[in-house]
Amino acid sequence: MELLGLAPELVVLFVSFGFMVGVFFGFFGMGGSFLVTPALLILGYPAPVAIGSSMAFVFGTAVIATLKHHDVGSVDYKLGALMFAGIVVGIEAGKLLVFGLEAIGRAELVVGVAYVLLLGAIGLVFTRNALKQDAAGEDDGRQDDDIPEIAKKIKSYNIPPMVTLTDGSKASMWTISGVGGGVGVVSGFLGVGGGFIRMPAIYYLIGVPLAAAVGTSLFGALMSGAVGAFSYGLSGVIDIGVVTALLVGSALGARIGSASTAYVDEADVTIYFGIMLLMASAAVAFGELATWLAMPILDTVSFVLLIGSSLFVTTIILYYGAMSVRERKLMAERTPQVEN
Amino acid sequence: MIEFALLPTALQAALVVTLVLVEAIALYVGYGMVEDRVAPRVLEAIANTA
Repeated sequence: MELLGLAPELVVLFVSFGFMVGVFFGFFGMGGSFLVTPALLILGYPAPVAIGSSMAFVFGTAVIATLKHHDVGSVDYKLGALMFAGIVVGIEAGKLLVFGLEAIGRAELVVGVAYVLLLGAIGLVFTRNALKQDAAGEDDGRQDDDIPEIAKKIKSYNIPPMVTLTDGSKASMWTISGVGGGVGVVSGFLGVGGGFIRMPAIYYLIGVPLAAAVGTSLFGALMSGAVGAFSYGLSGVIDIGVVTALLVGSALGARIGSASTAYVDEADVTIYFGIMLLMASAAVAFGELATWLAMPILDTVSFVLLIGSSLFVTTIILYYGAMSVRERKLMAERTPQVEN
Repeated sequence: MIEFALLPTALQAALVVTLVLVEAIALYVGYGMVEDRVAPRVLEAIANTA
């Protein structure tokens, strides 16, 4: 018996994994897509199918996130639209690279190695930041409206054509297209939304204030996902059953992850997220080694590492959330009622 | 894998994107209704767990 074109155990696996990915996305605002492609690669899906399906998943997740934030989110739609051309060209270039590597039988290897490096680098950044926060205290004093010095420097070069952004500042179309195209290549090549690169790029290179950079990056992920899903869809490599199962889980997980931010201090769990990304990097490396050394046991190790570490961090977030709900209830009961 | 083999490839790709869009909106609305009904009771149950 099959459901969504998948064996029942795979449906359960993808819904559960989607739930965990959704919790990360809802809680951290990132971490969704860059776990999906490695998971599909570890499960033996060809690189184009893994990346194309992940792009479609990115699109669905970004639609849900945009619906969730459209009232409160600060989005520079004009900037997002201006990046569109760069995104299209970048994703197409990334896709051509994947299919070129697939033609010579190297796509899984190169994409796998790229993921080992990417997850390892992001994991190190998260772990290091969490340790620094623990050592130095909380706030770095940065305001949401601040623009970093490097962005001011880049903005000072008036390379035409210049365009006026929603906040009234000006930016070169070359910078905007460069950011859109550069992130597009990464998105198209790895099957990720690219928020972890796009958001800092919009903030540091284009000079959009942090609050608007987050919302605009989300809008960019929606466009990247749509373009990527369409582009890979043209090649018929999207497994819609996988995408649907992942979305069923992630839409629920994102709600719970998002609600958890009201109860759990992000600083308490960031280090676990960083360690999970490092373990995910090791998981992809084990998956690659399994192929090179023809040792299927390493595939099992890889799978257990990826799912196990994701499950661990999801449990930590839910546990901290439940403890916080209980503590608040107890505090409310202990606090004497003030009568007016 | 679901395929729409008889349709032109561009239409197939557009259908995939549309299908994901519809799924995402349906899941957002559906879970939203579930959350409104269930979330207060779940929070209450967690708070009252010893």
